[in-house]
Amino acid sequence: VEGKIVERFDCYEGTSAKAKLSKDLYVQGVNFFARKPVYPLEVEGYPDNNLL
Amino acid sequence: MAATCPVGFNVQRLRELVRAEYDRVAREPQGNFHFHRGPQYASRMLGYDAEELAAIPDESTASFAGVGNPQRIGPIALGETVLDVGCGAGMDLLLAARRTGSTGRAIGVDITPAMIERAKSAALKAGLWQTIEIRRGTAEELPVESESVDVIISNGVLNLSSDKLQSFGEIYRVLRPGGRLHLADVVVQRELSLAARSDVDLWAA
Repeated sequence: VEGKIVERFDCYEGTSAKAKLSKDLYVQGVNFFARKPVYPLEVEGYPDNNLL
Repeated sequence: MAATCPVGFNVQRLRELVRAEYDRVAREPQGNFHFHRGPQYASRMLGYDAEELAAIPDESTASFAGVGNPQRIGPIALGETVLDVGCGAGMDLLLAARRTGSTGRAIGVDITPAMIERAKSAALKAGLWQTIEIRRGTAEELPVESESVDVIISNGVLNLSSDKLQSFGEIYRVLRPGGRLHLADVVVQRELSLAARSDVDLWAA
Protein backbone atom coordinates (compact mmCIF):
# COMPACT_ATOMS: atom_id res chain seq x y z
CA VAL A 1 0.00 0.00 0.00
CA GLU A 2 1.35 3.39 -0.92
CA GLY A 3 0.38 6.57 0.84
CA LYS A 4 1.47 10.16 1.04
CA ILE A 5 1.20 13.21 3.24
CA VAL A 6 -0.85 15.77 1.32
CA GLU A 7 -1.07 18.67 3.78
CA ARG A 8 0.49 19.82 7.05
CA PHE A 9 -0.97 21.84 9.94
CA ASP A 10 0.57 23.65 12.92
CA CYS A 11 -2.22 22.29 15.08
CA TYR A 12 -0.38 22.87 18.37
CA GLU A 13 0.52 26.49 17.65
CA GLY A 14 -0.21 28.58 20.73
CA THR A 15 -0.84 25.60 23.05
CA SER A 16 0.98 24.51 26.19
CA ALA A 17 1.96 21.32 24.38
CA LYS A 18 3.92 23.33 21.83
CA ALA A 19 5.84 25.03 24.61
CA LYS A 20 6.66 21.76 26.38
CA LEU A 21 7.85 19.78 23.40
CA SER A 22 11.38 19.81 22.14
CA LYS A 23 11.65 22.03 19.07
CA ASP A 24 13.55 19.47 17.03
CA LEU A 25 10.67 17.01 17.41
CA TYR A 26 8.57 19.48 15.41
CA VAL A 27 5.21 17.87 16.14
CA GLN A 28 2.60 18.78 13.57
CA GLY A 29 -0.68 17.54 12.18
CA VAL A 30 -0.80 16.02 8.72
CA ASN A 31 -3.39 14.91 6.21
CA PHE A 32 -2.44 11.52 4.78
CA PHE A 33 -3.97 9.63 1.86
CA ALA A 34 -3.66 5.95 0.95
CA ARG A 35 -5.64 3.49 -1.15
CA LYS A 36 -6.02 -0.25 -0.70
CA PRO A 37 -4.91 -2.09 -3.84
CA VAL A 38 -7.71 -3.47 -6.00
CA TYR A 39 -5.80 -6.68 -6.65
CA PRO A 40 -3.24 -8.39 -4.44
CA LEU A 41 -0.70 -8.11 -7.26
CA GLU A 42 -1.16 -4.34 -7.62
CA VAL A 43 2.03 -3.44 -5.79
CA GLU A 44 4.93 -1.24 -6.72
CA GLY A 45 7.43 -2.96 -8.91
CA TYR A 46 5.28 -5.89 -9.86
CA PRO A 47 5.98 -6.35 -13.58
CA ASP A 48 2.46 -7.22 -14.72
CA ASN A 49 0.55 -4.37 -13.05
CA ASN A 50 -0.39 -2.89 -16.40
CA LEU A 51 -1.81 -6.18 -17.57
CA LEU A 52 -4.39 -6.44 -14.78
CA MET B 1 4.39 8.47 15.84
CA ALA B 2 5.84 5.39 17.47
CA ALA B 3 4.45 2.26 15.85
CA THR B 4 4.27 0.04 18.90
CA CYS B 5 4.67 0.41 22.64
CA PRO B 6 7.70 -1.00 24.50
CA VAL B 7 7.66 -4.42 26.21
CA GLY B 8 5.96 -4.16 29.60
CA PHE B 9 3.94 -1.11 28.64
CA ASN B 10 0.64 -0.90 30.52
CA VAL B 11 -1.85 -0.88 27.64
CA GLN B 12 -4.87 -1.07 29.91
CA ARG B 13 -3.74 2.01 31.81
CA LEU B 14 -3.18 3.86 28.54
CA ARG B 15 -6.73 3.07 27.43
CA GLU B 16 -8.10 4.21 30.79
CA LEU B 17 -6.16 7.49 30.61
CA VAL B 18 -7.26 8.14 27.03
CA ARG B 19 -10.87 7.43 27.94
CA ALA B 20 -10.65 9.75 30.98
CA GLU B 21 -9.00 12.57 29.01
CA TYR B 22 -11.55 12.51 26.21
CA ASP B 23 -14.42 11.98 28.61
CA ARG B 24 -13.37 15.32 30.08
CA VAL B 25 -13.19 16.89 26.61
CA ALA B 26 -16.76 15.67 26.01
CA ARG B 27 -18.10 16.96 29.33
CA GLU B 28 -16.04 20.15 29.68
CA PRO B 29 -14.90 21.21 26.20
CA GLN B 30 -14.13 24.70 27.52
CA GLY B 31 -11.81 23.25 30.19
CA ASN B 32 -8.04 23.53 30.36
CA PHE B 33 -6.30 21.24 27.86
CA HIS B 34 -2.95 21.29 26.10
CA PHE B 35 -4.57 21.07 22.66
CA HIS B 36 -7.03 23.25 20.76
CA ARG B 37 -10.72 22.41 20.48
CA GLY B 38 -13.89 23.68 18.90
CA PRO B 39 -15.26 24.97 15.60
CA GLN B 40 -13.30 28.23 15.48
CA TYR B 41 -10.03 26.32 15.78
CA ALA B 42 -11.25 23.90 13.11
CA SER B 43 -12.04 26.62 10.59
CA ARG B 44 -9.19 29.01 11.42
CA MET B 45 -6.30 26.54 11.72
CA LEU B 46 -7.44 23.42 9.87
CA GLY B 47 -9.38 24.86 6.96
CA TYR B 48 -12.86 23.54 7.73
CA ASP B 49 -15.69 25.44 6.06
CA ALA B 50 -17.20 27.66 8.78
CA GLU B 51 -20.64 27.69 7.14
CA GLU B 52 -20.68 23.92 6.93
CA LEU B 53 -19.67 23.65 10.59
CA ALA B 54 -22.50 26.00 11.54
CA ALA B 55 -24.92 23.34 10.32
CA ILE B 56 -23.49 20.81 12.80
CA PRO B 57 -24.88 20.88 16.38
CA ASP B 58 -22.71 22.66 18.93
CA GLU B 59 -22.46 19.60 21.17
CA SER B 60 -20.50 17.95 18.38
CA THR B 61 -18.28 20.82 17.23
CA ALA B 62 -17.46 22.10 20.75
CA SER B 63 -15.66 18.85 21.63
CA PHE B 64 -13.80 18.58 18.34
CA ALA B 65 -10.09 18.02 19.05
CA GLY B 66 -8.70 16.90 15.69
CA VAL B 67 -5.26 17.72 14.34
CA GLY B 68 -5.97 17.90 10.60
CA ASN B 69 -8.86 17.89 8.17
CA PRO B 70 -9.89 14.58 6.50
CA GLN B 71 -12.61 16.42 4.56
CA ARG B 72 -9.90 18.10 2.44
CA ILE B 73 -8.08 14.90 1.49
CA GLY B 74 -10.54 13.70 -1.10
CA PRO B 75 -14.20 13.48 -2.04
CA ILE B 76 -16.80 11.18 -0.51
CA ALA B 77 -19.41 10.13 -3.05
CA LEU B 78 -23.12 9.73 -2.57
CA GLY B 79 -23.97 6.21 -1.47
CA GLU B 80 -20.54 5.32 -0.11
CA THR B 81 -19.92 3.67 3.24
CA VAL B 82 -17.65 5.75 5.47
CA LEU B 83 -16.04 4.69 8.74
CA ASP B 84 -14.71 7.26 11.23
CA VAL B 85 -12.14 5.59 13.50
CA GLY B 86 -12.32 7.42 16.83
CA CYS B 87 -15.28 9.58 15.88
CA GLY B 88 -15.40 11.45 19.19
CA ALA B 89 -18.38 13.79 19.38
CA GLY B 90 -18.96 13.22 15.69
CA MET B 91 -18.01 16.41 13.82
CA ASP B 92 -16.15 14.67 11.00
CA LEU B 93 -18.68 11.83 11.06
CA LEU B 94 -21.63 14.19 10.55
CA LEU B 95 -19.81 16.04 7.76
CA ALA B 96 -19.11 12.69 6.07
CA ALA B 97 -22.76 11.64 6.50
CA ARG B 98 -23.89 14.81 4.71
CA ARG B 99 -21.64 13.85 1.79
CA THR B 100 -22.58 10.19 1.52
CA GLY B 101 -26.28 11.03 1.78
CA SER B 102 -29.28 8.90 2.67
CA THR B 103 -28.20 6.14 0.28
CA GLY B 104 -24.87 5.74 2.07
CA ARG B 105 -23.74 4.89 5.59
CA ALA B 106 -21.51 6.67 8.06
CA ILE B 107 -20.24 4.45 10.87
CA GLY B 108 -18.45 5.92 13.87
CA VAL B 109 -16.34 3.92 16.32
CA ASP B 110 -15.14 5.37 19.60
CA ILE B 111 -13.95 4.16 22.99
CA THR B 112 -15.40 7.00 25.11
CA PRO B 113 -19.06 6.67 26.20
CA ALA B 114 -19.54 10.42 26.79
CA MET B 115 -18.28 11.18 23.27
CA ILE B 116 -20.57 8.51 21.80
CA GLU B 117 -23.57 10.04 23.56
CA ARG B 118 -22.70 13.47 22.16
CA ALA B 119 -22.28 12.09 18.66
CA LYS B 120 -25.60 10.21 18.81
CA SER B 121 -27.44 13.26 20.08
CA ALA B 122 -25.86 15.48 17.42
CA ALA B 123 -26.75 13.00 14.66
CA LEU B 124 -30.35 13.01 15.83
CA LYS B 125 -30.54 16.82 15.98
CA ALA B 126 -28.93 17.15 12.55
CA GLY B 127 -31.48 14.78 11.02
CA LEU B 128 -28.74 12.33 10.04
CA TRP B 129 -29.64 9.48 12.34
CA GLN B 130 -30.79 7.18 9.52
CA THR B 131 -27.38 7.48 7.86
CA ILE B 132 -25.22 7.31 10.98
CA GLU B 133 -24.44 4.34 13.19
CA ILE B 134 -22.11 4.60 16.17
CA ARG B 135 -20.40 1.63 17.77
CA ARG B 136 -18.20 1.34 20.83
CA GLY B 137 -14.79 -0.11 20.08
CA THR B 138 -11.10 0.50 19.53
CA ALA B 139 -8.89 1.07 16.51
CA GLU B 140 -7.04 -2.15 17.36
CA GLU B 141 -10.25 -4.22 17.16
CA LEU B 142 -12.68 -2.44 14.86
CA PRO B 143 -16.25 -3.76 15.26
CA VAL B 144 -16.76 -3.66 11.49
CA GLU B 145 -17.09 -6.36 8.82
CA SER B 146 -14.11 -7.08 6.57
CA GLU B 147 -14.02 -5.32 3.18
CA SER B 148 -17.21 -3.38 3.89
CA VAL B 149 -16.02 0.25 3.86
CA ASP B 150 -15.29 2.60 0.93
CA VAL B 151 -13.60 5.40 2.87
CA ILE B 152 -12.01 5.45 6.31
CA ILE B 153 -11.53 8.79 8.00
CA SER B 154 -9.78 9.44 11.31
CA ASN B 155 -8.58 12.61 12.99
CA GLY B 156 -6.04 12.69 15.81
CA VAL B 157 -6.78 9.21 17.08
CA LEU B 158 -4.22 6.68 15.85
CA ASN B 159 -1.42 8.49 17.72
CA LEU B 160 -3.19 7.31 20.90
CA SER B 161 -3.14 3.66 19.85
CA SER B 162 -0.86 1.34 21.79
CA ASP B 163 -0.37 -0.83 18.70
CA LYS B 164 -0.47 1.18 15.50
CA LEU B 165 0.52 -1.76 13.30
CA GLN B 166 -2.51 -3.65 14.59
CA SER B 167 -4.69 -0.57 14.01
CA PHE B 168 -3.48 -0.15 10.42
CA GLY B 169 -4.02 -3.88 9.94
CA GLU B 170 -7.63 -3.41 10.99
CA ILE B 171 -8.00 -0.45 8.63
CA TYR B 172 -6.70 -2.62 5.78
CA ARG B 173 -9.05 -5.46 6.76
CA VAL B 174 -12.28 -3.41 6.74
CA LEU B 175 -11.52 -1.40 3.57
CA ARG B 176 -12.90 -2.77 0.33
CA PRO B 177 -10.33 -3.35 -2.44
CA GLY B 178 -9.75 0.12 -3.89
CA GLY B 179 -11.01 1.76 -0.68
CA ARG B 180 -9.41 4.98 0.53
CA LEU B 181 -7.87 6.11 3.80
CA HIS B 182 -8.31 9.82 4.61
CA LEU B 183 -6.22 10.10 7.75
CA ALA B 184 -5.31 13.14 9.82
CA ASP B 185 -2.86 12.63 12.65
CA VAL B 186 0.32 13.93 14.24
CA VAL B 187 3.87 13.16 13.21
CA VAL B 188 7.28 13.99 14.61
CA GLN B 189 10.48 14.56 12.67
CA ARG B 190 12.58 12.06 14.61
CA GLU B 191 12.11 8.83 16.57
CA LEU B 192 10.92 9.29 20.14
CA SER B 193 13.21 8.09 22.92
CA LEU B 194 12.51 4.81 24.72
CA ALA B 195 11.79 6.85 27.87
CA ALA B 196 9.17 8.89 26.04
CA ARG B 197 7.60 5.81 24.48
CA SER B 198 7.49 4.12 27.90
CA ASP B 199 5.67 7.03 29.54
CA VAL B 200 1.98 6.12 29.52
CA ASP B 201 0.97 9.69 30.45
CA LEU B 202 2.73 11.06 27.38
CA TRP B 203 0.98 8.53 25.16
CA ALA B 204 -2.40 9.52 26.50
CA ALA B 205 -1.75 13.26 26.22
